[in-house]
Amino acid sequence: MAAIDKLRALVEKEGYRKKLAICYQCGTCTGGCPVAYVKSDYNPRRILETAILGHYDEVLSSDLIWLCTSCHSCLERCPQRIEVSEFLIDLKNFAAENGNIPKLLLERAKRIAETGQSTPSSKASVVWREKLNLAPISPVKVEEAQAILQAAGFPAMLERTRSQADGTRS
Amino acid sequence: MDPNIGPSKIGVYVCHCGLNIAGTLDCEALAKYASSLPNVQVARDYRYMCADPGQGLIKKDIKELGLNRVIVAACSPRMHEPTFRKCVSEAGLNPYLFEMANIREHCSWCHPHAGDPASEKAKDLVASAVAKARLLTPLEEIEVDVERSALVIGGGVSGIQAALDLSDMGFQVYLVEREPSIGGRMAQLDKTFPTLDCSICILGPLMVDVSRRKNVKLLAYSEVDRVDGYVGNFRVRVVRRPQYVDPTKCNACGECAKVCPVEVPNEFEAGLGWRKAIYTPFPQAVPPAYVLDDRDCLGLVPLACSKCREACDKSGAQAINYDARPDIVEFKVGTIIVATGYDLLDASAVKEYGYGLYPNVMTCLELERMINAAGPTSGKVIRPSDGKTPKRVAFIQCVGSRDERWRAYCSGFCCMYTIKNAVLLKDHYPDLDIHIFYVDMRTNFKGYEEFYRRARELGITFIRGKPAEVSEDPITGNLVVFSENQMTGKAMSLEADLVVLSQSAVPRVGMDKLARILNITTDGSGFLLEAHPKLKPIDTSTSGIFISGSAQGPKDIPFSVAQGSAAASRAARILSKDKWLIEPIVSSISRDLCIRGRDPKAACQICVTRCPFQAISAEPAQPAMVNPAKCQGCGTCVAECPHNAITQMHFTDEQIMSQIGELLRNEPEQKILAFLCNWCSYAGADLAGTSRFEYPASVRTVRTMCSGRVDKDFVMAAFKMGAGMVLVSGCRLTDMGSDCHYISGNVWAKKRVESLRRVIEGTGMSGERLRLEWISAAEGQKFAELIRDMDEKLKALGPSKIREENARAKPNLERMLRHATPTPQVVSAKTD
Repeated sequence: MAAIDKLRALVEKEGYRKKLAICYQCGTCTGGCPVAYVKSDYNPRRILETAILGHYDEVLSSDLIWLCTSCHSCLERCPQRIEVSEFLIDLKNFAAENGNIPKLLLERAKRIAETGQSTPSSKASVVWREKLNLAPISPVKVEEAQAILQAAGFPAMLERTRSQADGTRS
Repeated sequence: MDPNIGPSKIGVYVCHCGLNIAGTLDCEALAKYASSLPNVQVARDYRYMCADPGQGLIKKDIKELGLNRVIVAACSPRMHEPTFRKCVSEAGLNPYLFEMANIREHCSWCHPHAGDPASEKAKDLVASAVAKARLLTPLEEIEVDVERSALVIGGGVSGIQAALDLSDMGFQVYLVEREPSIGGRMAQLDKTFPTLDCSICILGPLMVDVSRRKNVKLLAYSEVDRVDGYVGNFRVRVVRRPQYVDPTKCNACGECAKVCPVEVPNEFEAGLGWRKAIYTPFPQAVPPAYVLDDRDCLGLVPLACSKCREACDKSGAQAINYDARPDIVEFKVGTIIVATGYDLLDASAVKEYGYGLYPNVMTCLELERMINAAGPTSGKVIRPSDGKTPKRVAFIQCVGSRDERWRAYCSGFCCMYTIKNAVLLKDHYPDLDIHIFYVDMRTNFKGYEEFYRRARELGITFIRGKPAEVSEDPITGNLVVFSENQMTGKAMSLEADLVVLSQSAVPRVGMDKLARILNITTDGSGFLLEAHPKLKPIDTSTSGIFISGSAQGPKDIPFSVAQGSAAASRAARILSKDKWLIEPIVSSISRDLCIRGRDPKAACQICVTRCPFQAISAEPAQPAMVNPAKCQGCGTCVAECPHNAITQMHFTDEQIMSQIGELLRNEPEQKILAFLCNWCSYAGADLAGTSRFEYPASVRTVRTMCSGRVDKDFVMAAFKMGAGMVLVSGCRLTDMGSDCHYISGNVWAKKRVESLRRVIEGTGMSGERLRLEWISAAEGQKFAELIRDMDEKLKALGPSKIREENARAKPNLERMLRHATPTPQVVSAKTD
């Protein structure tokens, strides 16, 4: 099933619409969103409204959904108990399947799968640690990280995403 | 000969209701079928039975054919039962010898495409009504005396209005107020919207008026402690707190308060100012005498402090007496009006706005008192942190209201009072910068929208967006409001010197206790539940007790005043009569069958504890007794009595068993037998019909007044007769509370069905064949969905499996039913 159909099914069939449609657009999510204060285009209320109105394509192709940091302030404060940030995680998963994943994040995901680290320690940090007489950083147990990721189906998802992303995004 | 006695001679009248019924059902064939039923003397069909010619047919037949039972197969009894009861009584027949078969809402409207199954259902419904009608007995309404006085609880504007109206009509009124003065919330307000009348200036005269009436007894600083009795005859006990000041001697000189060393936050000033332990709450207080609050006083003994008494004695009034004790006042009234008003939610509960943490975040009522010229700041609006006049004020709406974390409902009046406070601020400080953060503006009564426009003209800024957070600059004490501005779609932050919260209105503290004392119901929010949301908004489930004002839910002043007058008028309906008539569908206990009568050692109290209206009493070694005037007719005691000693008039075990027998006469394993309570579930099924929601015609309905009436025996008998499924349905019962019109009937229904399900499963039957569901009168769709679901499950089980289960369970069911009321023997062939 295509990602957009999965999203439609989630919203319309699996009772999710009932959760979303109770939104009365008060804007508490946006008013308390730390991202919205530095990136004024980002507006979780509008993302929710777009999904409620059934414009799934628009939601999944949007770059903005990737800005959510999952701090869950919106979820805590929503007067209708809508789990806004959880829904945004769903959206990101569907968008990734669709190939809509910013290149930077894709690279980072690849690196985690390969090295177990999102940001490997740099040469500079090794030098600085020596200067400060600190013990060298113990090497990351890549196998452990990979075993966990394997169990979660991460490499397959990454492969699927990468193949779909090829050519669609730069 | 008296038509009310002798063998049943039944007339059945099938209504076409234009095409509403005749468009789906063959009414002529239905009437022909009815005429074949035992004891049916005549059966006719007619286009509109409720019209004069239709009613004329019935009256003519009663007179000419000597009919002594009448059945109309037409719409819901909730619609026209009163019409036809009146019709038959005009022809000399007792109105309780009439029965309705609901073939419109429960058949033609909900099964328009069902074909034969719909016709079969209509026949069963008629046969069921005929079976019940054979067993009907004439009943007389119960007459009770009426004490021509009323109790009004709560001396706010709504209660004052009710008391004044009743007093004008010449009735004795007792007005009980918990606080030292009447006046309620309105006395605390500065101005009123949308006219900006001075609140105390228009309320004060009413307060004085009600206190001076000869036929109004004002009991301030008092609480209702006990109420028993019934409509027309309530006995009330009120406890007056000792005020330690003789009101007949006190001349309100205030010398006592001047010397009192104790200072406590002043409740009337929303906690902003201080008052002494001996005080009068505000200058216009009625009664005006000072009160000494013994919870604040240093000790009420000269050893601790007796400054106030010395000052009073010196002034010559000699009004203070430290030895005062609580005073018990007892009296009798015919009706009671509850007008206890509302409290405001503790704003510190909504943590993100920082009330209680940041001094410059305040509540609407605190601001109201500051604006008031007689308030703690003499009308000056200042910041609590530094006493400076604010230049920028932000209002936040829906603090706790419309919020699932606190109060789901809209408190209704906050939009308007915030606009009013903003307008007043702008009037006092024209250069003030005012922002109002709102979710939706609700300004929907006369003159309100115009007032909103006026606020915008004055330059008050309205921002659509519910703030997520307020934070404080600890050095300046200034506040920052974080919100989305939906007009721009951008997150914004606004610095303000003062933030004012409009927190939600909540039931008064002690509402639960009072509801228990009065035997009335609260809704899920804790406000009082009305008898019917549309047609009986002032009545409660207990006859003779009425609600007025915000005790029922948040209301503004005009609405509260209108309700005060409405409650007075509802009360006067009873008070203006010498005798009040009570519907006779009450319970009665057989002296011979009650175990307490048969066995002097028996301690059975089941019926006594089940009755939510305290209508049943049991003296030692005596059979239990029902007070018919207190009985509201739910029938819960009847179903709960383990000795089958209790009967409910018009809903007897025999009558209901005979209905069950008829409804399950043919192919019972393909039927769903549904017991529906009159107020919610039967009404919900009616709504499914009215809304034309289609559902399978396999369901057969039995109406009881309350789900609490549904006896275990009914369910077991239904299964013994081979029923495929049984549904018991009543008013909603959730963690939030019970909507039961008889307070707790559904609680007992739930317990009963749950224990019954274990029994049913023990006999080898599938547990899903017994369902318990709550359907409110608004849930027509839910009812249709439920029947669809049950029908699917019924089909999935299949008739052969059900027959097999039933055969296996039958000996057990018969054993358990050996003491039950048997299904009356019905002869299927026509007898003469």
